[in-house]
Amino acid sequence: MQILLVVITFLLGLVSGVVMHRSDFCLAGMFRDLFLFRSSPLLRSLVLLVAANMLLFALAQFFGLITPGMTMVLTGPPALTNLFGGMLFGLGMVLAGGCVIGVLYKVGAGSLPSVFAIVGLIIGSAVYAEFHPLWTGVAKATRLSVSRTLPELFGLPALPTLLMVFLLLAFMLLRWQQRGLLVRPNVISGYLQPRTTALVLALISLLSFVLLGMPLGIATIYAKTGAFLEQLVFPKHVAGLVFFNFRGLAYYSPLLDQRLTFGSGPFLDGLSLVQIPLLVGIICGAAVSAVTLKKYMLSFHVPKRQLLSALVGGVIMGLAARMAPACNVWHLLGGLPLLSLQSLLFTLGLLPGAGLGSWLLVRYVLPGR
Amino acid sequence: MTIASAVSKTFYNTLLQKESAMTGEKQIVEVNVCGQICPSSLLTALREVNRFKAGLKTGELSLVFLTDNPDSTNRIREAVGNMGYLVEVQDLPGCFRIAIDKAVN
Repeated sequence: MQILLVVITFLLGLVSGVVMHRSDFCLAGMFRDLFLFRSSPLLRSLVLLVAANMLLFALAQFFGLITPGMTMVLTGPPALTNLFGGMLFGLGMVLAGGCVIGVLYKVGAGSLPSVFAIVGLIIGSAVYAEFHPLWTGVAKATRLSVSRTLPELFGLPALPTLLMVFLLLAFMLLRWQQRGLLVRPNVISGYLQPRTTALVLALISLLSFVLLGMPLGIATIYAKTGAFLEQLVFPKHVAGLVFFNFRGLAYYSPLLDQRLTFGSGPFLDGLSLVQIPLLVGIICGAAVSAVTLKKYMLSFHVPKRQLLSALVGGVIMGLAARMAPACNVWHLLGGLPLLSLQSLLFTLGLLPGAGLGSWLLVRYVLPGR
Repeated sequence: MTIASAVSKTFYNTLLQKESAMTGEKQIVEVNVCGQICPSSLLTALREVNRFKAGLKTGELSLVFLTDNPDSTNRIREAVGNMGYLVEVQDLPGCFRIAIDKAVN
């Protein structure tokens, strides 16, 4: 059964990698362009993706495919640390030129800066382990509510509220559709409309949630890799870190019909079982897509300043993904469709973070201005 | 075709690969931003279009960008097209070639 789980996850990653590469579905770019060019056509596809997930998750909950226990993984009491983590993440992803998942499909297509961003992500996640106990204290001290979701906060029934918000988003999307704002010009071969990619990713999120027990997420594997590498050099130090030793987290895996425990340390567990095949799948999918389109090209003519930006952005993003806690994919594609307060705060934080990142990018990274 | 390196020396960014070649009457300035971090392609395109505005307007010069960033083909086409230029995208092995010229009236 574990083999089946690994194969399914790999396939989900593979398809994600192909469609993201075909549409250049860059979540970091969507937020960045909002500030840099005051127009972000691809952001509308993200709204479509979030809305589709909202409807699909609500239906799956209604039909019992997603149980309340499964949604608990995605929600927690909101704190100011979610907002701060979102801001930091927004800054990091813009400087890195891609988010935790965007850098994977870009690496698959041969992007050198994205390799630096991934190295940064691993370093950042490992550095977080140094102040994890302190940060947990900050999160507790800045807790804003005991409610986990927006409907809970206002004492509203969950599913009807989700449907109401979905209808509002659907109305907005319909207006965009009528004005032709959801379609992008298609002048290159193999181009996939971002709205199609959004719908494919929504389906993948649903399958992931229903079969694997959680929506897409990838950030923990960076922490695990960081822990593994650090352990090779400083085994005693790693053994003494609370963050890397804790294995007490758990989620229910519907496919295996059992609870899987996991942690962030340098060991294989219930989470690496899904995140490793997903990560490999995305890179492979993008590589297959790039090679078949004859667009695989590794270029080394990249200004050092840009590589440094990608590395620093990766470190910031790695830190933020643990401080938030969880990455943008987890929050945007998983938490936001459930109206999780943590994810709403994270998304709110992404905006000023991406704004600051865009300013720094133009001011210091991209030369000749 | 001769490489007019003197032109490329005037560029204040030496990290970008830039070449300019004389083809008959028309000067072609080529900028290669393949492999670079987003959104380098669009920002570089806007900057270069602005720099070579005079030549582009008279039709004496044509700008060519090489990028491997698929979304840039749309963004550059839209942004530079809105400025009144003719933008042509070619799908080449390994990259996209975006040519910017004076619009045909």
